[in-house]
Order: sequence, then structure tokens, then C-alpha cells
Amino acid sequence: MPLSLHAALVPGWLQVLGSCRGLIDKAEAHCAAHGLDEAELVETRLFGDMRPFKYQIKSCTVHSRLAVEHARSGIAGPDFNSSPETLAALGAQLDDTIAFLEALDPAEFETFFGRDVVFTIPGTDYRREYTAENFLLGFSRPNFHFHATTAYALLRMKGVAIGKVNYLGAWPTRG
Amino acid sequence: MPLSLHAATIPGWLQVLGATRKLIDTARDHCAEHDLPQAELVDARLIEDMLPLKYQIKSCAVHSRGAIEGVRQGTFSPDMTEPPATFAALAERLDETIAFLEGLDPAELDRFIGRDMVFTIGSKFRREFTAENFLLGFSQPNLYFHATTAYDLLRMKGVKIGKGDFLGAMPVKG
Repeated sequence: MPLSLHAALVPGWLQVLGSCRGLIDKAEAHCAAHGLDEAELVETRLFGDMRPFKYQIKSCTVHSRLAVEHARSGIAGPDFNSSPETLAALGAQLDDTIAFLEALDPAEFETFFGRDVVFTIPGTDYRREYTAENFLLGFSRPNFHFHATTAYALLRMKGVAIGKVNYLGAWPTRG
Repeated sequence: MPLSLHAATIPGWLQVLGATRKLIDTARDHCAEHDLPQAELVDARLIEDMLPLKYQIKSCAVHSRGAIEGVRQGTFSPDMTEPPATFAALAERLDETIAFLEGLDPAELDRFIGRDMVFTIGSKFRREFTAENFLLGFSQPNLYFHATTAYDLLRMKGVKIGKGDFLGAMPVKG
């Protein structure tokens, strides 16, 4: 018995997006409890030239919702929109992304198989061609987990009281 | 056109394991170049009470090869073995894991679908899954979590890597 492309991707995205949404609440509670300015967490980085928490959270939307939009159009590229600047705005963006993914029709995903997706970076000659299923499984999915885990790692490094279960979220257990 | 369970998991796992395998060589070279003891990176942590790089790398094997072996038996529990403590031993662990996954028969994974799987910690904690939900909803996020944390640790320590070194060989056409 095979899987649908939707089953291989969307429940896993929703599981971790739900976790990230919970991390935003944990970050808010941490700032309130310690009298911290929330920019302390929103702007935090692992290293001077690495991107901040707000970018990591924005990228969870880019590599799930926008990935599906790219699979639909066949045209993909980096997202140059600025990141939401507050925990409330980051939370709202994740809420929108979750609602978008929950509403997807599994039958639509079946039409993605074999379709071309071309990823280009404007102003450069970077160009990579994928089938839509390989784009989603081999480009979007590892990117998604990369940014979600890095968002978690940033909060963990800053001393927010979280553990790996806060990343893994609601497991798809029986019953 | 549906997807086999193998296609939904194993190529993606091999992609990130291959990238992580290369990160070990990059970390080793970084130590040689900066005259750092290996332990500086092998034992690096994001914060004191978090587990070190060597544990993150070991966990990539636990949540890929270990996950498949768990499904074969119908049961999985946390791995309590000591992580390899040198770059050479960590690399060997990943090489064995990659060879194991490359040797899997897709038909075997198809037979996993619908099979019972239980995750236990000691005698009190018990969660039941179908095998496919265990692999997709437990093992896979764990694998990506530990692989990314390993990358993040090296990045934080100033090793010269970028996201492309995490993404590895992307499945482009041709």
C-alpha cells in the first residue's frame, strides 16, 4: 500500500509548525517572566553572520506554504520579503501557514508528480530543475526542518525552558 | 501516482546523512587548521544542559538505521549507548548507517505499512504508532532535528559552513 505525496509531507509539516507556534508562546512567556525585551529573542543569532530567530521562523512558512505555491506555478526562488518583527506577528504568520496547509486537498498533490519546478535566483545564473515531488521532498523538507530546528536551538541557547518534545510536537500515535 | 514508503523517507535521509558525513571532515580539518583539540568540537554544546555534538551525530544513526531496525522488531526505545568520541569513530558510524540504508529493499518498506509499532521508555511510557507514522512522524523529525543541531553547533563554533552543506546533494533532474 503506497502513500500519497500529501501524506508524506503535509502532516509532518503541520506537526512541526504546531511546535513552532508553541515555541513563540514559550518565548513570550520567557520574556514576560524575566522582564526581557522581546527583541532579545527575535533578533538572536547563533553566530554573528547567521540569520536571526525571526528569519528562521519566517523560513518555516517559506519552505512549506510557499513551497506548495512554487509546486503549483513551477517557478521557485528565494523569498526576499522581510521577516515579521515581533513575536505576535511571527505567531500570526505561522497561524496563517497552518490554516493554509490544513485546507490543502490531497488530490491536488497527486497532480504535482512529474511536473517541472525550476528554482532560480534573480540576478544570478543559478538555476536548478526538479520534479515537483523531488523539490518538495529533497529541497523544501530539509530546508523546513533546518529552519525550525535552528529556531528551537536559538531559544534553547538563550535559556528558554524547552526540550526536544517541544520540537517534535504532537506525534501521530494511534487512536 | 503514489509514493512508496521508501521513496518518502530513505532518499531524504541519505541526503542529510551524506551532508552530515561531510561536516565531520570539515570539522576535523577546522581543528587541524586552527590547532584545536577535537574535543573542542566533539563535545561542543549549545547550552550546558544540552547534549554535545557527538550525541547529535550518533542520534542521526539512531533515528534512521535504528528506526528501521526498530520497525522490523515492532519496538523502539531510546538508545543509551555512549556516542563515539572522535571524528574518526563518528564518521565510521555514519558510513555504516549510509551503507545500511543504501542496502534496503523498497519492497521491505512497503510491507511495513499498517504494521504495529510501539515506542517505550522503561515500563511506564508507551506510545503506539503504525510503522509508517512512526517513521514519518517520529523518526524523521528526530533525524532532521539532530542533524541540524550538529550543523548549528559547528556553525556556532566558527567552522566555515553554510546551509548548502546541510542540504547536501539535492535531487535535481539529470
